[in-house]
Amino acid sequence: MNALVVTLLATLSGVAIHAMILRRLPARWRLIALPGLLLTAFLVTLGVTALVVSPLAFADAAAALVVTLSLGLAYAFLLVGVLYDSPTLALAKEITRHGVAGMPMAGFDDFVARHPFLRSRVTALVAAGELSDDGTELRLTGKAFHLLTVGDAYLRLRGHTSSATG
Amino acid sequence: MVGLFAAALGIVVALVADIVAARRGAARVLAYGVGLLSGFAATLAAGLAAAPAEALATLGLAALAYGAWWFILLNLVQALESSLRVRLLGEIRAAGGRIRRDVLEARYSDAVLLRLRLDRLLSHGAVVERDGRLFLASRGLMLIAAFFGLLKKLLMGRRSEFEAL
Repeated sequence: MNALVVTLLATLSGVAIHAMILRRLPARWRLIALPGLLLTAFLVTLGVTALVVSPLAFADAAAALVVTLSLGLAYAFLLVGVLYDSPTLALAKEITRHGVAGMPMAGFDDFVARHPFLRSRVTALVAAGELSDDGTELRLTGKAFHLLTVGDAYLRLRGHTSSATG
Repeated sequence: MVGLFAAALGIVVALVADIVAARRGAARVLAYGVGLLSGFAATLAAGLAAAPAEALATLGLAALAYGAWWFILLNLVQALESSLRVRLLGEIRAAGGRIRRDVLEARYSDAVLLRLRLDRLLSHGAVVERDGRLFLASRGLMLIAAFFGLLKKLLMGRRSEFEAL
């Protein structure tokens, strides 16, 4: 039972601290800081548990660490949706913003101009080291695109014909 | 540690169930649901069978691990299907690993990609057009948009990445 308690306490405290300091972190540190915070929270929780209750067996501590980092990664995926707007949700919010009168089709161009998604995503990929940008040409420089091969294989198994739909 | 093995088994079952459901023509959300529930049942069964003496702790850890892994996989699959970032990487990979900015911008202008999404929402009935005005008809989409709007406001202090602080 202690492994479960350590996992929950470490995850909740690590995520809570991250959420509290998120606004103050420079953009490139917002996701990178998370594993360090979770690991620190885990070690502190593990130490306190050992002092107050009893030390965890190595296998239990390892399992608790894996689950803590897994929950942290799940939170990171949610965080990507918080840090970066989804085009579909941005459109849905814009329509909702106009209330019962509805969004005039004529306002679509203005909405597009206020939401430069392509620039945002290219900037993020360059910042993450996945792309290099010399001003005229973009080049693949990271490793993430290798995941596309695995992803394509999975989507083909599901019966899809291509990976992404734009 | 038994809980992790149970969760890993559950994930394998979830993936197989998702693939089978999708190939049998199930709608996307239904296929995900079938995968989620099948995998969760397998996780609980494996956890109970392997460690009946400490069932609660094992099942608790297994359920947390399974939930986290399933959510991560769901996000990865969703990203492969519709993420702009993944699409851009795929496009550059298909172009031989490099692409001119102007070529990419012509192919994926903000107007093109947002129009594509609007057309998709209109064709699925999530958005309806009446008298030259757009209305959101999907309560689910409304709730998800409101949920992320609230999270953005709480964590970032603004409702959009394009909104000035």
